[in-house]
Amino acid sequence: MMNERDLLESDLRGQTRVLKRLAQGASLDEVLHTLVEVAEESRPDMIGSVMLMEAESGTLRLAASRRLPDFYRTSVDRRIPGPRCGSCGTAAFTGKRVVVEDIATDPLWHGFRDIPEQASLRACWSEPIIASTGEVLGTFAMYYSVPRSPCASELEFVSSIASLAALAIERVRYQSEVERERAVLKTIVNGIPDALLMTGLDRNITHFSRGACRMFQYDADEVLGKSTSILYADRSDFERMAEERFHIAADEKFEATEVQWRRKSGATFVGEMVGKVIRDERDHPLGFLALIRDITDRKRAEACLAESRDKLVQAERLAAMGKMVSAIAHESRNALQRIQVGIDVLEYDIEPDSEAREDLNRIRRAKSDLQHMHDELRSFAGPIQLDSSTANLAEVWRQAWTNLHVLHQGRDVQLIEAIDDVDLVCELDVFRIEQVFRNLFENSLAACADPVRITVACSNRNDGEQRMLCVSVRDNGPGLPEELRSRVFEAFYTTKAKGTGLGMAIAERFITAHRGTIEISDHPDGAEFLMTLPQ
Amino acid sequence: MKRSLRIVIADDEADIRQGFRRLLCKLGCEVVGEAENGRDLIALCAAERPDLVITDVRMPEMSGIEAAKVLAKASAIPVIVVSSYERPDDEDCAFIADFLLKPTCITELRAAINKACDGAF
Repeated sequence: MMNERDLLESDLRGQTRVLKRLAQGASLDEVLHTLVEVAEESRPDMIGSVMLMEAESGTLRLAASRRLPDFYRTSVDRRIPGPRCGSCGTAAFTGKRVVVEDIATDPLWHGFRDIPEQASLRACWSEPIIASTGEVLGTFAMYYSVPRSPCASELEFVSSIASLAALAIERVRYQSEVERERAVLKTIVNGIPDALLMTGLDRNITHFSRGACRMFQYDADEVLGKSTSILYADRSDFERMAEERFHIAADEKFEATEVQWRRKSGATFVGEMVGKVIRDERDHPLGFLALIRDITDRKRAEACLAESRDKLVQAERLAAMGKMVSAIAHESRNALQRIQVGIDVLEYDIEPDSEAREDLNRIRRAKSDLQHMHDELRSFAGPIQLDSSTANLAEVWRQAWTNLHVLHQGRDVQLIEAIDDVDLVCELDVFRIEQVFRNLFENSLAACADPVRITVACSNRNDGEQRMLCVSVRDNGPGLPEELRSRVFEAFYTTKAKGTGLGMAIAERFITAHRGTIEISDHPDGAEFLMTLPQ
Repeated sequence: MKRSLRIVIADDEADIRQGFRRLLCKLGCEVVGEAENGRDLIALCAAERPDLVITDVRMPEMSGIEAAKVLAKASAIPVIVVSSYERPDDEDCAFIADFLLKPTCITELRAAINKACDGAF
């Protein structure tokens, strides 16, 4: 039998063992078993047990006991606490210590006596395990095989064991809660496709989510500790964000900011970012958090939608204009025919070199202008039914050049062909492609001062299975002014004093109808148009 | 000296008929009849037996193309169509000697007559 001092020392050692297990991160089950173990070691004639309240069922569950017989364990498990429900059931119900000196006679055990009797248990003192919040978590019970009452040190012991159990249960439960929250948070952080970054107040990266790794193509190890500036495509955005979001006095903002970002490969993309200051419970800033979403696809879809909308509007405009042009085509051509035939007849009657002949020529020119305008409107807005045939493209542009003889007559003008061994045979509507070249040549002749050099260069290319003829028409003029470059194919836009502004819009429409493309090149000298036509 | 070509013209616009008549006279042709629709054109051709027909397409009662089809069955008179509408389908063009889109000028008209009447000028 240990003396008081040895017992105290043994209790302290036991408690330390329990605390160590707790600190080692042992499970609640393991900690409670250690608790029973150390209690029984210091008091070998005692049988200890811990019961825990199960919130869902409202019953007491046997959580730890080393020496209670199985049938007894089974009988006490899942007991509902009550005002007269043995030692533990009553202690759990009242929240107060229950000391039963003799189970055989105590009224609290009325109706339950045969099982402890069978297990040779006569005394049972039960201490409720109470959380810091006051909630009853369970009970710690000390059984003896003989009737007996506790001394003061034993009461102190049972009380300290219950306190230790409360500490262990709360600690383990808190730990479980923290781990659960961490798991949830981790799932969220790693589960979202967006990039989640955390930084210190110096904006050096402290956390780089899997989404961030995927988005920026870095491994977390490559960027941890580095400044977020490596992720910005533009240094000024990094600095701007310091002013707008990433400073300790920043207001909470929920709206996203669009920023151009840079991947490890150097490729850039548009990302939408929300960011905020991370603060502790006392509102002290700890760092910054940023959530970035790659919106490249959305931007692309928006651009496609805008383009489709523009095309739809353009198609509607064209359809309306087509109807209008068709409606006036018949009557205007008849009117033009009346003028034409009048001119042709008068030419026989009016003396050459007379003033009347000059008047007649003015009427002829006016009629030609009117007809040209009418034809342009029809070309732009009327339905296109290609009349395709196999043709050599060089012959088409040469014919267009020849037809412009009046425009380059008397000027220092040269059409240079760079075609070598290129295959120039295409299926095309000769009349319409000739008009494309005519419009391009007309523009060059109007824009260039003598000597004018217009170069047509061709090459063949394979686009997948489609063979394409690429044609460049370049002049040695001043080039296209910046404001014209983006609007050059826009209908009715012109920098010339005269003209409908339809020439290049018609060219684009005709080339598109041939399933080809036409665009302005970035050539620094002169103007250059690049066309492709399927072969 | 060649005999002047005898031509019948058809157009629902009097100004155009008159203009073509005067112009064809300047070219040395003789306009032997004018019609303002396809039906009159056929009747005129039956009566006058011209060397050539110059006709518009859209006219009341009967179009120039329909009239050309009837004429092609009954006689060998060549037909030149002058229209303010685009060239009709190849099927319809089988009945005509040439197609001119308005406004057509004297040069084009002369070339078409030459082609239709085998070197009339």
